[in-house]
Amino acid sequence: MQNNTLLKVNNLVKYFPVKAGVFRKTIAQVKAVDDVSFEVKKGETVGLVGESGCGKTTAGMSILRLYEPTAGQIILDGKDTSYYFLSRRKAKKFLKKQYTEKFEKMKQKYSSEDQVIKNLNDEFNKQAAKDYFENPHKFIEKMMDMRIKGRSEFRRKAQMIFQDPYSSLNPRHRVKTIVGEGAKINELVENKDELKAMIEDILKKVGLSVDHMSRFPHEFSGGQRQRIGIARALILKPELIVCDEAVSALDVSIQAQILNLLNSLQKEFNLTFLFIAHDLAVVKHISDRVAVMYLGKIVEYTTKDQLFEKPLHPYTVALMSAIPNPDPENKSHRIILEGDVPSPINPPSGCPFHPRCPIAKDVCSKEVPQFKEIEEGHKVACLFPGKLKR
Amino acid sequence: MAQKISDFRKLSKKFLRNGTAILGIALLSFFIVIAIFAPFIAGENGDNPYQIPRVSWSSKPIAPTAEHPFGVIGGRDIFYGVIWGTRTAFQLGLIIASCAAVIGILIGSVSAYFGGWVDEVLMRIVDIFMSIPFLVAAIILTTILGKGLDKVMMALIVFGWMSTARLIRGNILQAREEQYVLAAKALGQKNFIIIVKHIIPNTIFPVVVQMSMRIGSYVITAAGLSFLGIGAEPGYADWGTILSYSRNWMTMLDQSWFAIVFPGTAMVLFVLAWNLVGDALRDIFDPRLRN
Ligand SMILES: Nc1ncnc2c1ncn2[C@@H]1O[C@H](COP(=O)(O)OP(=O)(O)OP(=O)(O)O)[C@@H](O)[C@H]1O
Ligand code: SF4
Ligand SMILES: [Mg+2]
Repeated sequence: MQNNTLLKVNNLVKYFPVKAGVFRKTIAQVKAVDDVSFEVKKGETVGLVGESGCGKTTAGMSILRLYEPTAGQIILDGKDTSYYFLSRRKAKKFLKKQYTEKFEKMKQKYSSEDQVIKNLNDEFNKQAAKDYFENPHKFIEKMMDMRIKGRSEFRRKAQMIFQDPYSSLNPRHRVKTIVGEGAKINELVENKDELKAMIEDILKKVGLSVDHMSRFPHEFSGGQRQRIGIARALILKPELIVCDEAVSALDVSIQAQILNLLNSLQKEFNLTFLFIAHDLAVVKHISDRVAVMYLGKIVEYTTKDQLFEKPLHPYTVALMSAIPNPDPENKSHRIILEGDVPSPINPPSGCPFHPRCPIAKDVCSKEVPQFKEIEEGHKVACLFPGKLKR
Repeated sequence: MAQKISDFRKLSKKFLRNGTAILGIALLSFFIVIAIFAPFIAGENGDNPYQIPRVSWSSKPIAPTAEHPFGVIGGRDIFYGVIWGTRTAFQLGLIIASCAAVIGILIGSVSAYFGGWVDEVLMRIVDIFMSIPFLVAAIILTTILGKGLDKVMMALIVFGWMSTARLIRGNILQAREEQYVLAAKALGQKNFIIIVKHIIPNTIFPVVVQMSMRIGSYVITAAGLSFLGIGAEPGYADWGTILSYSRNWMTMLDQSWFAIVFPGTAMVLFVLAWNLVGDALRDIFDPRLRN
């Protein structure tokens, strides 16, 4: 694994069962996140964009294990954290499936351990296979030992800033209780004075004042509340922060302030952001790379510059045409997408975008486009990438 | 701690500036004093103080006199009945409200916590209980169980817990989805602490407020049952029982007004007191309303 990768998500899946009847039988699955893979480098900001309901929040929450993922591997800072929050039994099952069975099967297929390692496609799993073959039993045991300790380490390293500045703060708690909660849980301080000093320090960093400590959330404006939420996450000195539409509930002028704050905090604390947004306009200002999501899948992933210069997926092109263009000379026509986002319970066959895609061909409803690298650092899931022009 | 004390001071100051809250507290204190000092105010009737002493063998109402300041009806001293009836009212209201609340909280939180078919079954039971007209159910139940105030209480508890169950279930389900609960989880907070620190405080207080508001209304309902003759035993020191004596004199209000006015006023003020206190509690419990 490259040293500068902080987060690596492999084949993340999250289905919500739909239950009905007196016996609550599962009659269908909401495929909110369906096989999502991407990675985030240390210190960068990755934007995750897509229309409402495409699974952005679910992806963010599953990565942070606020939802239990249905399947997939979440690697943070070179450690597989996927099984940390599972029960002992489920964790064992996960490790057996993810490592023991997979590696043994590959070993039979390729007949040598070296070949297995060579055929694995990512650095993390290559290293894991190496360690595994050295001593399979010890490899699994060591991972199980790390489970409980890993939980608090993960909580400290990965935090979230929520969308709704109203629902995200407990109305009955004072600012100092809200902001101090993480420090207390993770025992970052020895005594009350230290805690107070820490809270004061962090409040100043997010642009609030010490007098705000004893107030209740309702005494603040939306922007200030969002600052409190940022302080709550920041007190743990996390490395990764998932910002779920952190500014979309705010006035435009306040949005800029909060974005600037996040920007300066990123520099000061060397933070890595996964920045969820529903339109490209916000993402354009802060992201280094952008992942475009549609119906539970990532359809395009590349650097921001490349994406805005040369979008390859028709969905991205359509989203881009929706950004208001201030330059009257350079007027590109707006591509209106027909129809609504299909239900994630019953996604369309073939390419999930085909019912709305302006350039869909017959083959699109039959063949599932693979998410693959088309040019250096530019991944797309489309059978005819780059064919829809702006 | 210092914060808590100064908070308390701020709150009580605000509370005292709020006229209706003062009125509520004053009224309630007044009733509490009467209940405590009932034996000194109205005397005590031998071995069963909750039996209104018989002062006349004629059923004809006797208008208030110096000896019987609230008059006499059915041969019973109304003053004694109203004063000792205060104790009955507190017993009725507090016992019914707290039992119904405990049952409701238990069923509501079990329903919300386990979800799935447990929730489904419990909520269907709630629906069934709610669909039975309350008065009919109470009449049937007291007919089966027999007369007496304890039976009335039982009936009111059996048919009084459902709205609390629904309230607490809804509140818990809502609180569980709140982003601050997810945020606490993301910080690494233990589930148990999340329930104690984040979910219960945001769900239980509305129930306490509801409970205090309902204490008054339970007393009215119990009185209604007594008035219909399916409540307390005749002669029991209970506001509803006194009212029930006036049933036969309804057409001659000029001769029996005191049997309605005195217990009636007590009831209205009692209900008012609990409602005002409920309002005040709501303000205290909700930091958003403390300005
Ligand atoms: N707890 C849940 N139970 C069942 N279905 C859910 C749940 N949470 C989300 N979903 C469904 O999963 C899909 C993805 O939802 P999600 O909230 O992740 O979308 P989103 O991209 O964040 O949208 P938005 O822009 O509206 O926030 C939606 O169809 C939603 O209805
Ligand atoms: S695969 Fe076909 S339908 Fe899907 S985005 Fe590409 S062109 Fe459109
Ligand atoms: Mg969302």
